[in-house]
Amino acid sequence: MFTRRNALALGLAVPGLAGLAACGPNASGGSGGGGGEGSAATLRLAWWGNPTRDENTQNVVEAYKEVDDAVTINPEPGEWSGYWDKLATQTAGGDFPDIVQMDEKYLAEYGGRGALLDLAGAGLNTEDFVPGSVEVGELPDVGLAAINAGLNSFAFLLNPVVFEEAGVDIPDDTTWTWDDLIDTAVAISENTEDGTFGMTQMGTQQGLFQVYVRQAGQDQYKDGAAGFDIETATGWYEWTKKIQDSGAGPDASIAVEDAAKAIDQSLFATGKAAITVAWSNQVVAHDGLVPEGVVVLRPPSMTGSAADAQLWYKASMYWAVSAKTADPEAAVAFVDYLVNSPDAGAILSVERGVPGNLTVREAIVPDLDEANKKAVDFLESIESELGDAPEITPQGGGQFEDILTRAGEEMLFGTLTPAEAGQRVLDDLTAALG
Amino acid sequence: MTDLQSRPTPAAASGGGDSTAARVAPRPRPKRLVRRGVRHAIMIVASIVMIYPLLWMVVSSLRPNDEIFRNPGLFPISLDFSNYARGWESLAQPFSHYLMNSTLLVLGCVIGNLIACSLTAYAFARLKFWGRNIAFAVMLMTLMLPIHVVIVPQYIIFSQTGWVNTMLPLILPKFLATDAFFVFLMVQFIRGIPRELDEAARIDGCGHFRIFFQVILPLMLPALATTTIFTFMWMWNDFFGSLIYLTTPENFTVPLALKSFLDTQGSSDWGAMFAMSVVSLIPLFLVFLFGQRFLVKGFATTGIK
Amino acid sequence: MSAVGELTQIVSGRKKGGAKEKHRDNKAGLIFMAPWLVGLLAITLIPMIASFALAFTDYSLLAPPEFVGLANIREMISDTRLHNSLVVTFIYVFVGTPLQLVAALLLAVVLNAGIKGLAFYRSIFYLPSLLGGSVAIAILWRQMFGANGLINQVGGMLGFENLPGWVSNPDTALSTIILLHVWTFGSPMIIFLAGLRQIPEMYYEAASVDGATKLAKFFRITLPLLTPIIFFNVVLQVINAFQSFTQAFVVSGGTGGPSDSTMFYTLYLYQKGFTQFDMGYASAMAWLLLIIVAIFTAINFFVSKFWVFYDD
Repeated sequence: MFTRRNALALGLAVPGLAGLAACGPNASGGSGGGGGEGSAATLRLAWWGNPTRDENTQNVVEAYKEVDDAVTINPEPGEWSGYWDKLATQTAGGDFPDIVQMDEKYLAEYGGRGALLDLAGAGLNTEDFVPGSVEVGELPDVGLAAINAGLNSFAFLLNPVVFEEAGVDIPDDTTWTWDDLIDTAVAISENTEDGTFGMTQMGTQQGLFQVYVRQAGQDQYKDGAAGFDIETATGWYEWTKKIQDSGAGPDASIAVEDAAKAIDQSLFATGKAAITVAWSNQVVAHDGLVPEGVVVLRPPSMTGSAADAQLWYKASMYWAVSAKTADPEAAVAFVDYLVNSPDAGAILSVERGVPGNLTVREAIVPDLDEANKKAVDFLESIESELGDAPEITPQGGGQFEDILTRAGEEMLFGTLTPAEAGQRVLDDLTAALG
Repeated sequence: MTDLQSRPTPAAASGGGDSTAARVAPRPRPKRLVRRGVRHAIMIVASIVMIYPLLWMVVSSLRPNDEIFRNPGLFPISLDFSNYARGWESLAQPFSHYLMNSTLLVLGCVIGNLIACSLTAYAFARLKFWGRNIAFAVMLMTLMLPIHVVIVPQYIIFSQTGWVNTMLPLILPKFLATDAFFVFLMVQFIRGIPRELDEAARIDGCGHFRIFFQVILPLMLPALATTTIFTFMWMWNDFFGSLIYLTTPENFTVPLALKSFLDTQGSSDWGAMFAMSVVSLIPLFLVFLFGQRFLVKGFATTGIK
Repeated sequence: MSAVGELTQIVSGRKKGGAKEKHRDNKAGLIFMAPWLVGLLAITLIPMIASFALAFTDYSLLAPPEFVGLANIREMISDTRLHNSLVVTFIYVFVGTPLQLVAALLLAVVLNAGIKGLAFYRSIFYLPSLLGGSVAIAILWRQMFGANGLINQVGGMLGFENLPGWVSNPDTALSTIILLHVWTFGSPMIIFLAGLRQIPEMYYEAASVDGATKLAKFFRITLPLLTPIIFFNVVLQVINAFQSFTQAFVVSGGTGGPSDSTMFYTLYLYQKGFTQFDMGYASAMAWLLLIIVAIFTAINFFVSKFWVFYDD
């Protein structure tokens, strides 16, 4: 029967089991075969996405059979939040897929714990990449932990129809400041019917917060800790509060509702807000939702000069290879095909973001539709104004957006002052980064 | 069981309580009519509250994508079936494939739960054996830990057996009575069955298996129907377990397929998602309609008095 | 003596009956219990024990666990978000569960009382439970209880002005989730109905001969004979409510917001374990939850002997 000693032994054995599984030799799990020179390999390819991306990626997998028919690739698509739950569980069980789509938020979590292969060391060719687009996948102890699958930058999106209704001109994005933005939005709120706003509440947008702190000469992270100080955080929340108090944006309640909604249901998509913010790979989604399409602008600057906007190219997502894949050569060869082959580029298009590889980009840009061209044009227009590449989100930083949102919401509902909210963010982030 | 089903069951068809109502002494007619009217009025209002979300879902599934969120009401009703066509075809497999996977999964789980849980419940409710109380307490405890902390160790176990990306990790546990909810449910039902019945069977020389199959099982039909309906519903909607264990699209179940329409960061195909949600509700609802016929059988209609 | 009865006795510290009589069916018991025992040892128990052991480790899921002693427990004592999530969960359990069960019982009794179209109403009332935690419900709920949603539009017509956005206001968001919980009363209702159906007709017939009124029959026959099922529903719904996850997850989009007002205990646990890569802490939280739920379940069993009536 089951004695206490047995129970104790089991209890100790299982975490050991977990450890073993994570380090075990059969780490790439069900991938079966693989291994030796020239033999047939089976690789598991995991990504998150949507029906379009799923189809594109399946097509690329099909096309790869022409390139190397000895390799079988098993696609494992998923949806954003479920994808990460599954990936973490698989990692614990020693079943990390051979090739995974990776996000900047979690790159250090996985890479820093030895789950990812150094792609540069494995011979991935990155010659054709735009300067600055490869470095964003580098981790100190790993090397090139992941390769950019598409470039992104933070952008302002305007609905020209609402501007026209309000009789307000579209601002000049090379000279506008944070205060100009609010003034423009106030003018729109005042000249449209009740319930239509100049801008959405952007105080909970991590991307914009990053733009703001960079313009203050700081950054989100520095040496694995918070890279901004209390003054900057307070300044951010004061600006956020001004959106609400001046009537430029909606009140707390509507703002919170708006933030919880999918893009299609948002104030901006339904014509109830004239200005919103998004990463540039979301331009296409927004463009299809408003009648005359969106106008893409640079974020404002503190000095009134776009040269000081301190923008950067973020990887909209990455490709990474398991450090324990049974066949690193085959896996890296497939990643090489994904990012360096114009054929693959033609199938994938800019759905994952604008390719960092210039050869691929040149091959596909002429065939892009209007909406996708807007995103590409925007990225190219800011190329000469870029600031330094930011530090990669350290372990524990994945929850920063939640932290920023929580403090922001409490401030908007009036339970915290901007200074208290700034302090809260700094404290919570420091605790999260441990 | 078959002889029970072949019995005429007026209650199942026309609302089980009619026989009770008929025996109540007749009241003055007008008052009775008013009362019945009021009762139905309350029920109809309640019904609307209950059914509104379903109506909204159906109406939304018939609207073009960009209209779904602009119009929170039910009217005007449009009849655009393109969401259904698109939803059926736009994923890696035709939607029928996911429906089939879910059906297989659910059938396995229902059979497993019916067999394993009823055996266990009989032991808990009627047998006297060493360690029963502790076993019962341990069983209840298994209900009290959130799935999120047990799923990882469980995954490691199933990963060692090589069953990941098959339905075994989801179905096999049901054959081992791990669903304590249903064991406890059946225990309570068996305890509602008068003990004289099995005592009588025992005096006739029946062993435990015959008592279980011939006396207890037929009498706990409502509990078995409840188990069937709930298992079907929970596994049909199960997301987390399927998410963790099923990795490639050809093994996906309906909830995983429905999620594939959505992209939290970009554009989602809401219309297709609603359309396929409606489609996936149909089997669920049919099972409920069918299953509830057995809910109304029991002592009331089996003729044991 | 039944399992439940004996458990009650253990809890209350009373014992009776000789050991021999108590273990009469050891062999048959082993046979009937075999699937469950195998399942327990192979599938259920190991993960439970593992989670207990992990409670004393720092375990990111991505790297092997490291023993940290009582560090997780110390952290829990000072974790204000955890304390908040306990408050949220307790409110949910002690407001939502009674409301849901009373609604379920009332409707089950009404639906059992011979109203025309019984099957139809029963199906309608069960529908929300079928839809339960689906994305569609989450979207509709946010829309209905939004600042310009259906609820406020109806409220406006009735003359209520300046109603809040129910889902987005920290003071009211939890109540909309409780409402969602009450609204999906279909499952306990079905169990009540099945229980009602199992009450032998002969009791009612005998009572009719004695000239008992409908109300008397309800209180003297229906309610007492239904108590095992009521008890089952109370125990299980309390256990389930403590672990409630899906509804808060879908309605708040997984954040538990606004300002943690819908941050249920298991939602916080999930965030700790999976999005913050702290499964050791999540495991420690899970065992605190188990202790809390076990205490309430034990109380339920103890109290049950004063009101639950078994025919055996």
